[in-house]
Amino acid sequence: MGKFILQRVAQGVIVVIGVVLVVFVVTRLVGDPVSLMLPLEATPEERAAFEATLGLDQPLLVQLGDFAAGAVRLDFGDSLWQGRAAFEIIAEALPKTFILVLAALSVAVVVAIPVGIYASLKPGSWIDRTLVGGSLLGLSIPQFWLGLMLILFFGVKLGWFPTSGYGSWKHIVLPAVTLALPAIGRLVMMVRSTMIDELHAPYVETSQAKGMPRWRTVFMHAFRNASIPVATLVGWEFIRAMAGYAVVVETVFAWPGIGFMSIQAINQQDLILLQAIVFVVAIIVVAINIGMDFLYMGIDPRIKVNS
Amino acid sequence: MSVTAPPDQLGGPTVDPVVVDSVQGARGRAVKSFLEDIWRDKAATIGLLFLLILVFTAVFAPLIAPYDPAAQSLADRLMPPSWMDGGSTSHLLGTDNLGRDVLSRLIYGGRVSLLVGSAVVAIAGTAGVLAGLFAGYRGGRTDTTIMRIVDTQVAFPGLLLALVILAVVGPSVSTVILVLSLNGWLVYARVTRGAVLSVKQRGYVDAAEMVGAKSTRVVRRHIFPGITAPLITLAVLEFARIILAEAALSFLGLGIQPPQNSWGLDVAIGREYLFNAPWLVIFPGIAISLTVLSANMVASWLRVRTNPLAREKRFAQDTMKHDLGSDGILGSGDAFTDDMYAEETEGAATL
Amino acid sequence: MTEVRKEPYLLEVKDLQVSFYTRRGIIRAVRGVHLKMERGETLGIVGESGSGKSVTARAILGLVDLPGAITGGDILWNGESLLHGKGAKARARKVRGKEMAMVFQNPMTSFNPLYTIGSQIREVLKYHLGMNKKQGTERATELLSLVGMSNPKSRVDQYPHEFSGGMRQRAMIAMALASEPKLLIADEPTTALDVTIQAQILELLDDLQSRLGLTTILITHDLAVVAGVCHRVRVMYAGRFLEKGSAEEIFGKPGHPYTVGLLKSTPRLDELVPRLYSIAGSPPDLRLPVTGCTFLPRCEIGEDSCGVTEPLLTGKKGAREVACYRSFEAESVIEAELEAEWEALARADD
Repeated sequence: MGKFILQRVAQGVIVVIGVVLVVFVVTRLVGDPVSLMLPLEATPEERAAFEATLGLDQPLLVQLGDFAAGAVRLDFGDSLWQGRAAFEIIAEALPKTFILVLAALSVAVVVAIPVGIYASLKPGSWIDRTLVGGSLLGLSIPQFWLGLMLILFFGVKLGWFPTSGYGSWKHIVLPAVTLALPAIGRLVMMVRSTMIDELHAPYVETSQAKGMPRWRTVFMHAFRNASIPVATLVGWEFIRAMAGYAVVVETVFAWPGIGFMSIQAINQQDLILLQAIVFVVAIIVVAINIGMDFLYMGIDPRIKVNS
Repeated sequence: MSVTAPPDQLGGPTVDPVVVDSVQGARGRAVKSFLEDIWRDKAATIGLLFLLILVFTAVFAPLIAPYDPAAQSLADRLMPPSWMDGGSTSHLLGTDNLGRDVLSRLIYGGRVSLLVGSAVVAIAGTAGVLAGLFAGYRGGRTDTTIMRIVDTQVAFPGLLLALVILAVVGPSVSTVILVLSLNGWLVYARVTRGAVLSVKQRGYVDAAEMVGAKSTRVVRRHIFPGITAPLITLAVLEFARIILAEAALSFLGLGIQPPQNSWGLDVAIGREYLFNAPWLVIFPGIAISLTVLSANMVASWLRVRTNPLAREKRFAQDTMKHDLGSDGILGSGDAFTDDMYAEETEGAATL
Repeated sequence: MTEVRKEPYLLEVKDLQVSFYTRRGIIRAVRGVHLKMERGETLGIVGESGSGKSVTARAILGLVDLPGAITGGDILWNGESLLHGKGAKARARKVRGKEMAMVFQNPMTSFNPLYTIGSQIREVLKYHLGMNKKQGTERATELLSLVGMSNPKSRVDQYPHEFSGGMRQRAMIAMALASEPKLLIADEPTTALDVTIQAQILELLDDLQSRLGLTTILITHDLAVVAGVCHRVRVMYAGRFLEKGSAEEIFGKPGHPYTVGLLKSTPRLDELVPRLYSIAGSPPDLRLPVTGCTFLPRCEIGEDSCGVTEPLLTGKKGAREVACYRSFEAESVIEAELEAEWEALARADD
């Protein structure tokens, strides 16, 4: 058990180091952070002074070491854009993204699992084809556009929900639905196809032959087995939302989470804040991955904790 | 038309007509069965047709588009679509904030989507398939190394890193293609490796190796044909995903840059006028949705087509209705196993 | 024919038809099967794969699903239909899994990998006998020891992957017996097992059958399995029975050329033969309409006249019946053939 955890954590550390390396190589070697961050008319003296304050005149390895030394103390330096600790900005934004992502994923799971199971029971029927068609549509609509359409209809035309920003519970409805809808499409397709496979497994026939009620065969037997790949996908949706889709949705709705902050950091050319955000998100992604491994062990008795 | 002229009278090399006939016959039959099969799935047929039309309009955009997509006409700015009040048939889908024709911009915008989509599929697909083939076929340490790289990179926050890279390197069509390819090869590598491993288990690869076939030949002749079906489906799915990703990047201002145009970029521009000129956002969004939906529908048909059991089930469903009416006496339990199906049809299939 | 029975048969299958709707045509897997089961007897159904024997069993248990469907006939339990008429569905639900239970061919995949063996047996006890968890665990432990499992107390809490193949099949039988069924259908229960384990499982089934007074249908492609365990035997081919009779009758004097072929192609230790006989050809394509005897293309003694109408089971009703126009003629023909070969071989040795 201990060895297993250690192994996963070690793998996670490699991922985080890899991400930091990519960011450093891209920004320091491929790009020119100083000219990116300073106005064009800056004098060479100003440039040199700026380089020195950020430590950019140091060798890359020293910079990496400084970053790592700071990161373990959660000190990523001061944001150039807001002039305060980058960690402070992240600490404010991160919970807001968590709330949004959790709300969206809860909606997605609650809707998609019953719908997917229902579709799998009668594959090929008109209701199955309708649900599959709807799911395909859901995952084909670009998220940013879906968000704008919801704003147009529910925010402007009907006036039910605020069009953007953060505040009351009403503020979260439209962004959460926007974040959830494509995830629902992907989850329904996945739940459906996994359930169709599981419903053909011999142990399901055994359950039928035992005279178990249909609901028990479907939920206790087939779905319990299907829940392993489904849990994987839910974990992946969490990761994708945290490390990607949230950027788009938060930008559309001006939701002051970590995704919105990363776009601001890019627009404000705030390298310090940006690399801090990427580092924190990488750690979250690794943590979710490790969490998923534990979840599997809870579901599947065949996974032995030895290798 | 001298249909009856034998091949040797046409000046071509003399070929045994029987051979020609059988080759063309086989190819003709394959095409026919393909068409018959997709026709049965109406959604996929519509999807494929839409994609073909899209390719056509993208290639012949200068001939089809009524205006130059960049031609500004400030006098005509923010004209609504022709069927709305104040619209005009000269601009079917209206004009944008600079008086540019929306329809023409849509037609040209499709070029970028298709270009980025197919380029990324080609680059990431080639790299991923090669890596997967190498890992799966070689096995051992090669396999572990490649798959460890894949596993590590899969755990990266992909889109966020893409944003960072694009922000630093500078967004353009080629950097978008590069960044999306860097992110996209992983899934091909995984699928290819999995498919190679399952093909390898079937024994004929071992047999070919024992007879002394060269490894490139083994891969080309024996492994590749066995894995193309899942890879084609994957490529179509990835094509859809890439188009969405390009649109999102362009929307965020980190993809295609003006004066070039793309659907995602048009939505970003139109966003400023969402409340008084919503068509600027609505039309490009519909274009993206329809393209992605079409590709997804074709992919889901491909998946059924390449899965024999799913095919049989769908077929049985259709014929049952004709044969038994709606109240055929069905077993009250509903389980049915592949093994049993194989066992019970074996006898019939061998004849 | 005019015999009047006061008591209905435990199970009666009348003219059962099952078809599979495939892209390549409609496969008529079961074409009119009749079956009457007396209480306490053991019936063996023998046939090649594809003969429709598994489908028949699954149809009885209501396990036929698309692309397959029961297209005709009736299944009666204690004289009441499980397919047609008022309350048939509800009756079927009560009977299946409770009064009749099934043991499947592959014990490796027939258990749900995510639950302990005990909890999968408890499921049956809870639903059919209303036992609570404590009673269920006790009974499950008893059942496991009944099927000859050592250390049942700890076995009950183990997962399927911790069991060997033979152990799993024992557990499968225990689970089938949990609802105290009247009828046990075993579909190729030993096929997936090692030879040594096969014998143990058959012995167990035989023992349980006599101890619990079970009515059993044993489905197999292996005549040796049937010989030891069954009272009555049916030989199935191309969706129909070709021959029925007691085990002694069929093994002592096979009536149908197909049965003869099956017997001669089974290795035996008590007879010296030049070679094992093999039935040439393959079973007919059941998508095509049947004209004449389905076995004719592979038959050693078939005549043109056999190809006109399909022969029906004829003979003493309820005892010995054979569906062949030249019944009981094949054995001597094939034996003579093998004899001739034997002599030729002997001459060559000289």
